Amino acid sequence: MNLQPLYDAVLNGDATAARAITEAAVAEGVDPQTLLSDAMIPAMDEVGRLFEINEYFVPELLISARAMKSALTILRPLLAASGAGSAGRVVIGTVRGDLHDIGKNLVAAMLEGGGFEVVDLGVDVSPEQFVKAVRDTNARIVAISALLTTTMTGMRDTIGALKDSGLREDVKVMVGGAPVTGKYADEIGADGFSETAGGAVRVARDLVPPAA
Amino acid sequence: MTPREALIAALTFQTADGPPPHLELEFHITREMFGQDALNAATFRALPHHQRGDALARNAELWVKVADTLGWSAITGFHDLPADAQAKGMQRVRDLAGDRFMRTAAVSGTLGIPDADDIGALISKIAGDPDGLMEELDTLCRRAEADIRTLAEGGAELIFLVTDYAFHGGPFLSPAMFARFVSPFARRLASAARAHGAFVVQHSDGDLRLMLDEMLGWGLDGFHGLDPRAGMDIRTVRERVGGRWVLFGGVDSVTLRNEGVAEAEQSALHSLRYGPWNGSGHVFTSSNCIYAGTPPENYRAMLAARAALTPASGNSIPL
Repeated sequence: MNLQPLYDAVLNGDATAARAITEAAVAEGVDPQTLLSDAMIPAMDEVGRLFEINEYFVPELLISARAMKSALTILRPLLAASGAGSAGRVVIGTVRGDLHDIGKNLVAAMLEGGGFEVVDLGVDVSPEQFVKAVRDTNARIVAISALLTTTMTGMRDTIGALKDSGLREDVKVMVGGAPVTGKYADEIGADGFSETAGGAVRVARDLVPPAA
Repeated sequence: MTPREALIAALTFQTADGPPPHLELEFHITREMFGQDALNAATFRALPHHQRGDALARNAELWVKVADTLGWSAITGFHDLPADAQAKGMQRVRDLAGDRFMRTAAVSGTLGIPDADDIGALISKIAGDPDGLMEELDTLCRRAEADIRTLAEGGAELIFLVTDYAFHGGPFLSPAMFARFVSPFARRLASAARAHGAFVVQHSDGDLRLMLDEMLGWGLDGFHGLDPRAGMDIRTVRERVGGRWVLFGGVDSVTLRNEGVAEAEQSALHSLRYGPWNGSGHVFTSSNCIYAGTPPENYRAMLAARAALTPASGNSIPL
């Protein structure tokens, strides 16, 4: 089957077309994993690339993510039934005391578009809530966001809480947000840092490579 | 020359004696420096109506004291309040200080970065009903035009259009969407302010370098913000806009908040050096606001850098 129309539908943010093409492909017997891996995820990778070079902006990114989600509603039950795994489970949230979540939502959308299963804890998330979510979901990655210099210290607290709970060795921690730098990420002992939503997917893939 | 006259000189690119005028759009350390919290919208709305007049009067006394003590050219301390309360507050200021300080007000009436709860609905409208979105934006703009009329009739001489259009990493909307969904309404608001004889200045956070050419067509007198951490260094922006905008800002608010006196002074000197255009057109302010938690000594260091300008150096530091 020609997957280009599905790729284009996600890239152009056409949710109706993305869903219809996916339904038709599934009806024809196309492997759901093929639709995801060979059309939808590459399309979202391209969205991320365009976002990084200022050809796509937040609305375009979210419109594409919406198209991807629309198609995923068809594929998810089939993927689950076939036992196909995601690229990994990510717990994501904005640190305690910080109510900003647009950046966090962009990263969540891009991670989902990149094939990750995302558990979004929302905003104002305490270290204890991150720890509980990791324990409850067996997440492989914790993604922590902060917009304010006054709240970014919550990232260090969260990493500390993961250590105290004995979970630190089980998960990779990635951080991001306007005031966060690679230097700061190193200082607090994070495993990865990204300045952009698209870059976050690359970092997550590097941190948790797919099983051979 | 009064502080207000110094600000008018800067706003009209006239050279004036002494350092550039100073103000802050928001100043969150009144408790630390003056022992009193400023009136904010939440507090104001919670007050019974019969207590609101006294609250406005106390707020006016506070901000006149701030302006007198710290050398501000304008009163900005009512921006958080509804338009009619801003107008009443400005009258209180006039009663206290006459025309010593410029009276300013703030209006918001264009599409900016939405709250996260609203972004899904906005995306749906952009993708599926752009004409309907334009109608909603027209309604928003009409309300802001009415607010501008209220504020101008109440004595506002400088209207700040306060809407954030960008993140640190770049604009929220694409240039095409910005031109379609923002510019027509921003032009209307700038025109409304000018029609009432007021100066008009846009404030936005974030990196708007991609939008500067578009925004230069709005009819603004100036721009407030200039966050160097978002790429909007005052030198960069001045080189782009030349003498077409008065620039407000450039002293890094995060440096003031998180670093020391020496860094605060360096940031202030950078702003003083690169903000003016032919010796004018520069209003000395922080890049966003004086955040809560900013050490007063850092803010004083910023002011000291400005005060150190000598008559020989005029109102800017030679390059």
